[in-house]
Amino acid sequence: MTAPREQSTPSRRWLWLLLAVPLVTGLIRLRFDAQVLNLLPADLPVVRGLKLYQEHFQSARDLIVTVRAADADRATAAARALAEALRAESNLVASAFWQPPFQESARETGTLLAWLWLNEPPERFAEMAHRLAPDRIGALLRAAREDLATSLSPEVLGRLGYDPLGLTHLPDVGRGAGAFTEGSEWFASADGTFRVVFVRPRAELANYRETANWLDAVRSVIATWRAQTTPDVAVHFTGGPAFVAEIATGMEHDLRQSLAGTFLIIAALFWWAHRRWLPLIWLSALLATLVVATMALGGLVFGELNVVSLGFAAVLLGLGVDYALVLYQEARATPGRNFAEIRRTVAPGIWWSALTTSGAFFLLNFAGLPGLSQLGTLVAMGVLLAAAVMLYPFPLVALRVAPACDATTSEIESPPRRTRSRLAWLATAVLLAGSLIVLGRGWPPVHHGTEPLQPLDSPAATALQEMEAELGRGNEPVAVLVPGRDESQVIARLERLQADLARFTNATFTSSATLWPRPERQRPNQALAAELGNRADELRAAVTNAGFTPAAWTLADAMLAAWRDWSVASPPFWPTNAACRWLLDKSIARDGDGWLALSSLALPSDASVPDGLWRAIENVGASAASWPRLGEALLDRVEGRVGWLLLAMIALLAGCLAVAFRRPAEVVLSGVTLGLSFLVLLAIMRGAGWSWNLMNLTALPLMLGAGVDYTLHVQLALRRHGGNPRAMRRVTGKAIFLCAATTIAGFGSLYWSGNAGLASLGQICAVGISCVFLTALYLLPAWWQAFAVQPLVTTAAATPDAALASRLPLAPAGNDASAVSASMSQPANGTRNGVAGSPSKFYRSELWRAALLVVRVLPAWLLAGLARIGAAVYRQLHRDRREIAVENLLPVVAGDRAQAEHLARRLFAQFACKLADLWRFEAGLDVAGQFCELSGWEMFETAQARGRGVLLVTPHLGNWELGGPLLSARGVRLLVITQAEPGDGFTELRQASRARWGIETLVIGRDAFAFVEVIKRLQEGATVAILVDRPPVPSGVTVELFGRPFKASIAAAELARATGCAVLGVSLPRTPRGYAAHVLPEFAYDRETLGSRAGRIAFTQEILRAFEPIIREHADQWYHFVPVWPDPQPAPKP
Amino acid sequence: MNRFALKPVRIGARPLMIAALVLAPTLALRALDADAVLAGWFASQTNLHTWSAKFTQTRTLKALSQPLQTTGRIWVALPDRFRWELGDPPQTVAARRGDELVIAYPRLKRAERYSLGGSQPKPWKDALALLEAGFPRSRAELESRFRIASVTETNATYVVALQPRAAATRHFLPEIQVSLATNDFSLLATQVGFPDGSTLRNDYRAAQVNPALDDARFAPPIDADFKVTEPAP
Repeated sequence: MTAPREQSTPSRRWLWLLLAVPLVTGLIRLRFDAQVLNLLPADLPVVRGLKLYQEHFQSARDLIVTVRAADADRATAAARALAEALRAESNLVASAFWQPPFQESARETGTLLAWLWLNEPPERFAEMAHRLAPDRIGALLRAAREDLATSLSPEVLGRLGYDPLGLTHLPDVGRGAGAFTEGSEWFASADGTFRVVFVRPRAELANYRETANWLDAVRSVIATWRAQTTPDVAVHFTGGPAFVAEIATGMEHDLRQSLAGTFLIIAALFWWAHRRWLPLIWLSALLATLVVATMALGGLVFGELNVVSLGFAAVLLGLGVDYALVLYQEARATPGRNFAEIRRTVAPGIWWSALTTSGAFFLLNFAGLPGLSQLGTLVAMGVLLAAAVMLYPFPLVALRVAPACDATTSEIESPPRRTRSRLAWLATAVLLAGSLIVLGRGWPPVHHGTEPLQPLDSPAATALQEMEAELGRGNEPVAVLVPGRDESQVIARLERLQADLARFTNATFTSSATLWPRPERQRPNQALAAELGNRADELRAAVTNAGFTPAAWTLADAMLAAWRDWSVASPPFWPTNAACRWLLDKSIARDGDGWLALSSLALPSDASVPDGLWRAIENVGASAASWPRLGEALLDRVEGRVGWLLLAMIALLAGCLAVAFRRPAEVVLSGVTLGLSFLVLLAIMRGAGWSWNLMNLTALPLMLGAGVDYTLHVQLALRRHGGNPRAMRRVTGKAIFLCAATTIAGFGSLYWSGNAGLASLGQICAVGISCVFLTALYLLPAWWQAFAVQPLVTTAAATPDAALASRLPLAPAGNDASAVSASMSQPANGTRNGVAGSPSKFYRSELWRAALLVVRVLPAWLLAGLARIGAAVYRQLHRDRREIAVENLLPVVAGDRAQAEHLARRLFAQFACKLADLWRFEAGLDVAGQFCELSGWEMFETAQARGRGVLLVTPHLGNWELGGPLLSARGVRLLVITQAEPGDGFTELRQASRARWGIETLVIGRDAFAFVEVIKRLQEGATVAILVDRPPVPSGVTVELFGRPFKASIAAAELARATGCAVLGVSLPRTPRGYAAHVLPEFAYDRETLGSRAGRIAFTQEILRAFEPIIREHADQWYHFVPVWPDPQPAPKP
Repeated sequence: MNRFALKPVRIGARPLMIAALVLAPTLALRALDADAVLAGWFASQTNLHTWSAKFTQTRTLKALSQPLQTTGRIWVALPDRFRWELGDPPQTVAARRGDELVIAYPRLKRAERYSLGGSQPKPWKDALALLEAGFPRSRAELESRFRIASVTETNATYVVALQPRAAATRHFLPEIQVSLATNDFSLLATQVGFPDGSTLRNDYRAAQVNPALDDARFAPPIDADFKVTEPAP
């Protein structure tokens, strides 16, 4: 098919351009967020606390470089050299501390101490000033010398040596200067072989891209340093910048890898299925556009997308490509149809599927995790967009080059063995039993930790763990964050919190209140501090005279200078030097316009959290940041919602399935398929040691949403193929395989995600959908045959295949079959009776096979007799069916009910004889002797001689199947058009029977290309037979028969228009002497006239009119056991 | 370790210094070449059970323009008892008996009690090791805790320089020097060097080997009006 099928109108193109406006706006708004905690519900206090903690305190600003060497001396030297090398890069690094900064600068320590003194209560400050009074300073210094001479305390020796005035003794802090001036445990392990260097960037790192670039620059400096010094040390990176860069670049890498992998798999599958380059290229381009457009929509809706939820792209590709595959296959299957027709055919199915899938993903908004909500919304929007893109732009560009499919020679195939069904049942039993046995040992565990939120392979996390282990931070306390609009509010809250938490005896609260400025104290202390500052020279002289060196004066000098400086400052004020900032940054932060204080709460590791502890913290407006508590809190929320989510999902899907199937049994079978798949998934998880976690729990609704389509497609296909699983798998199964493979590829690609939760989500979804796919394709057909025993050729275009099959304008010729089975083809004329839509339960392969065995042993007369008895019994037992036969005959006998009833009785008897003869024919017994008359053969020969094919048309009258051997005996190979028979192997059985007589069978409804094949065969000069008086709905047109509206098949007219074949009417009534074969004069037509539908209907009317006298003559052989009149006359009273 | 808030007082360093001050005098070695000096010293320790001496302590601190000198006395009963008095009258008394170490400041009427039992942080264990190393029974035992940096002879005195193997201990006490008499390996002096260059030297005199010592001498010298605290080690 290469000709353009449709031209898009300019107005529609403008509509498409309108879409560009929101997309461009979305792209402009689009920002990316690498903060994993933003994926979590912000209303959870623990999440709020952790976000604040990570944002402001967990070395958020400092890069931590860890150094490990064989011994302490080398580690110390390396850390010092590394810090110096980084400090030399002043454009890159603001500070690099390899040891407590106060050890490097006594003056900065002095500044901090001076500030702390100003925050002391005024009376204490006055006490300190009093000790330094001119008349007391001498005694103070003498006591200091005596302590230095006799003390065994290293603290006293260390402090008094550099603080003979005792200024470092801060009563309110309750500890000496060591509290602030030491801190070596922040920098070195106990054995000294592991050291830490804190590096602060020179400039503020605005986003993750800047952070990654800055980190790369630092790495480069360190690499140069290592190359120059070749120290035998191991260097690793952690801290805020390392995490941000790692997560962001990791996600970018994941996204690229996932997208590329999914693209490749989709391309490979498409190539494997269709082997066409141009559609593949267009498909790839549209999929890429789809991802970008969805991201733009995400930008429009959310503004900022978390990099974790960008995993949607792979999922979207896997789902979105399905629609393109359906469309493309439809186009290949129906060459000659234009884009609009193809779209109309498949659009309902695609939109239905898109809405279902979109709804399923949208329900993730109720999972309680903002990250998954975002991902769900993105996929939901993307799926709808995919449906639109694949239904509109895709056909215009890709279907121009879609080739027609090959012919369906494969339909004439060996019948499937019944063992296949048994195998399916056996597999069902094995899977069920195996799963239950595995699950009998226990369900897959639920993991309550927060690892799913962490990167799978994170050097920064590994380095952080190593650092915490080496620095003895294993028993991590809970961080308590106290916000406040100003310093006064923060300190008030801290004091209240300290008082409130005092009642929890097994929780130790360490407040950071001592590091908070207190304006109400700073103000009164300022004057006295200034006075002390102004006495600096006097105090210096006293210290020197007492025998102290200048080293002992440095600290006091710095403090006095600071007091002088702050004497004119407006409280509250803060120390600003680097060492002070380093210290204060560990417990104080600005949060917007307010402040944030970090304190800690130590809990015994083996004790449960005291009741009311968290509430007490939250009551003062504070938040507790605890990763262990986060896992529990999140799982509580997710577990609580997954149940509701599943219920909502099940309700949504059940509703969709009920609308699609309209048969409870099939809805139940869909549920059973999903249920067994879920059971197998649980068993696999248990066997593989996988566990549920707060991320992959949401795989359940995803699996349901994505997997339910397979059960729907399979069962609808089984209907179309009369329950033949092989036929279903050959046609629909291939499409489902492609769809499933791409979806599994989409989810499966998440397995390689750097995020543990997303990887486990992808893993569970991929395995779960695989289970659904295999169960639906290989087990569901067997269940369907057992429980959904009323196969119908659907007349609704529920799926593309179904729509395609129903549109074929063919009425089967071979499947007379028995009027008892007439309901196999839902009558065009509707139903007036409850039985009309259901085939006789006797029309099934088992009984048919038995009959074929019986006719081989019973003589014909006995067989005929038994058949008549059987028919009489059936007629008596099935009044409804008898009534239908009567009503069908009423127009033939001008409404004479008595005659109609008489004819109906004969109809059943005649049908019994016909069946007996048919069985003999299908059993391979000789039927040639049953013909007693053949007329009009020369007309057939004349038509055949023209070489344009002969189309034999006949009503359901007589024993039309016997025309096949009659033609075969005269060297004519007949092609019989039939519909699929109900049940497993029935169609193939009857095909094989005809094949014995050289009659070929083409099953329509099973294969979308049957129409093409019929045309092709007629054009080659073949002889084809079809029935005209009980068409499927799509090919039925209303004509007049016996003065009443009647639905007849327009197929003959359609084929005549398409091929120019000769159309001949035939009838094979049974007479007292045997069967008669009559060929009617050829129906002449003008192909041009048949170009219009009215012309084709008129031609159909002509055919039916020609059969009217024959039907009247042999009304007792016009076999219809389903209603054939759309508007029945009221039955006259007897 | 609390990383969120202010670091607690580094009291853990205090026992290290105490141990250094107490134990440095007892780290007496002797011999000309290292092996001979150590062998001779170990041999002299074989029958040592108690030991006492007077000493003069000289503290040369960077913060002071002149050294500070104080006199005092020491009594040792192996394996785990000692009493240290600094000042006359004593300004500081350190007494250990078994797993209990008490530091008393009579002038201040204050005392600190440390428990040496149970699992202690590694620096504290290393500090205790200094005590045990003061009376080593073998070279292996000594070298398990100290690296022998040098053995020199000056003015009829052997000087053995030791470096603590534990980095945390070495952080506070980079080096300990033990001076022994060349004739009988008797302990003459000990000197501790601090990271800032300050030194603390004890010169011993009137030493007695195996004097009779009453167990009560090692009892904590705490009067009823003392304020006793139990800081973390």
